[in-house]
Amino acid sequence: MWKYIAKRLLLIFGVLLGVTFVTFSAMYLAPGDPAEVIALARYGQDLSTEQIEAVRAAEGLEAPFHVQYLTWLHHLLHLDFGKSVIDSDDVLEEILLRLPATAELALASLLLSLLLALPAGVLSALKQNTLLDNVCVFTSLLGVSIPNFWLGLLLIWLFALNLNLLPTHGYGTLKELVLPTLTLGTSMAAVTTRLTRSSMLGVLKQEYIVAARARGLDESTILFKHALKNALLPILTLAGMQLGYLLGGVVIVETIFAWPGLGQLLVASIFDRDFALIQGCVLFIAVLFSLSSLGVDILYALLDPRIRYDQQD
Amino acid sequence: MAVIENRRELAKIIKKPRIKRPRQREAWQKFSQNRFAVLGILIIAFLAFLALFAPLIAPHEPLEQKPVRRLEAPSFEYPFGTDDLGRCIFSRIVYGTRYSLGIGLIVVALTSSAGTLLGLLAGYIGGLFDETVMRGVDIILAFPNIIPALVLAGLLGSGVSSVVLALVLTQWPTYTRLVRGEVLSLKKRAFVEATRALRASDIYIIRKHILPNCLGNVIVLGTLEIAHVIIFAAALSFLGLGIQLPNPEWGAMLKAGISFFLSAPHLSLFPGFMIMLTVMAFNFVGDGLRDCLDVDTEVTRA
Repeated sequence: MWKYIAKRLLLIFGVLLGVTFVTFSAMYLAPGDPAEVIALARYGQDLSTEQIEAVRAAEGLEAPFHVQYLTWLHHLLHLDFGKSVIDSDDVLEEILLRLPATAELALASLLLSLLLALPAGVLSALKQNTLLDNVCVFTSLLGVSIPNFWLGLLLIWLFALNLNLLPTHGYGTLKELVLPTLTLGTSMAAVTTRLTRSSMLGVLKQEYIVAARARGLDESTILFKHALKNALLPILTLAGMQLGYLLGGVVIVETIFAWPGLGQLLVASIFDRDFALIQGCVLFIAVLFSLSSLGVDILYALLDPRIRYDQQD
Repeated sequence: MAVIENRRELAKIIKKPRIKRPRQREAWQKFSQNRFAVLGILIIAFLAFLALFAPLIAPHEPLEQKPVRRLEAPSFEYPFGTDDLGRCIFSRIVYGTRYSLGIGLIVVALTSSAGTLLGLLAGYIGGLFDETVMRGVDIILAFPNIIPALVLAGLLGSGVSSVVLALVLTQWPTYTRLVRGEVLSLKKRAFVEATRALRASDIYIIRKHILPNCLGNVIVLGTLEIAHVIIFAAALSFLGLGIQLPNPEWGAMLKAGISFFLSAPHLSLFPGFMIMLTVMAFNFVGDGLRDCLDVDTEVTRA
């Protein structure tokens, strides 16, 4: 196991190195002059060419690509993500400042999605081809198809504007958490419900379940002790992939609900063309995503004794 | 005599027009019995009709402004009402199908063919080429969901071409990974080995044996990816990083309507509904295809 983890970590390190290269190249090749952006932020609208050139020299922006990239990488390895071009805040500090809000929203949504999806998926599988099943299948298909931003607006329209129950946006209290969580959680639940259902259906067909029935075990024992345990494994993998969905989803949901998280920061930095901040956010998200995928894989191996990563190659 | 009769019977059976590829017919039957899938096809056909004949269907010019008639509720003259500049929302929606369907189809056509080709080559050739391609795939897939497209679209600037480019550059790896996996397992199968033993060329093997066996997966993934791409494109425009107003793109229209959400919710409701309808249709069809082609792709890139 340890060997596997070490190998995966090494691989992730390689991938992340590639990620830094791709990110940096994208910024480097992007239209627009970073020196001009910085100069604009420092000196205001009336810029002279000399000012821009001075900034270019001061920031090392005239150096060739590989020098700039290696310098940036060198700073990264010392956990120095650079400073925001617009307000010269430290990028890493800014990201860490925004992280709790995003984490709160993401965890609440994940929790909500599991609370909705697991019972719905299991029930749907147990009552296959009944009305209840059809409703579940249709609702989850609908849920997969509703864009986040549209669902969020509908919820605002219903709960905030018409019923006046919840605030339209904001951050801090539990009330303000409800609508963003509902938006993100329900759309995630749709995917999880579908997978739970198909996974459960697959397990229920297996011989050991038939054998358990033949031995006269009561249905709830069969369901909880035998079927569910095995059916939940694929869902764990999905929950790991859902993290990617979450990280993408927060970008949009945070924008709608003015939720001061990482997603909002990323979008704002893109609009400002704040290259250092964009690079920092993207890299941070990639690291978070890669590490949590590893975490899920490890958990998977721990829970399912049939999976032994060490023995493969 | 019974024997002759039997022989005649036999001849009848033999001459019975051979069912053209029974598997295909079976698949089609399974597909057409799936009510959701058929509904999806109908919706897509309807949307394609709107897109093709937009100038004939739309009662007004999509960009024509009539400030005196701004923020009107749906009426006979303006079936979906008017927006804040007095533009006909119905006409804009009709023209908007061109953006969503067009971007969805172009992006998926490009990504599925490029991604499949890379996957075929990586899986078949193996070695250093495989390594290089798959590390590229890993790197792009390390950015979750919409985030890489978001950053790229932001850097490239707004407009259809930058949205398409951003989505194409970030969406191909799913196909490559899928196809490569298939190729690796197909390569070891007896029928491929046998063909190789008959000294068939690599191109022949790929074309006749490997590609056809991957195609089902690619088609299912591609259909579901159209749904994804349409959501992504609309989301980019919604965030202001995609297609900009006054162009009648649904995501951009939805966003613009938010300011008037309290007094005139139809500004946002109609475009949002259309995005949902379109995405749902492709999801229905993709699901139906998955069931009837009997492919086992866990396409969970939601």
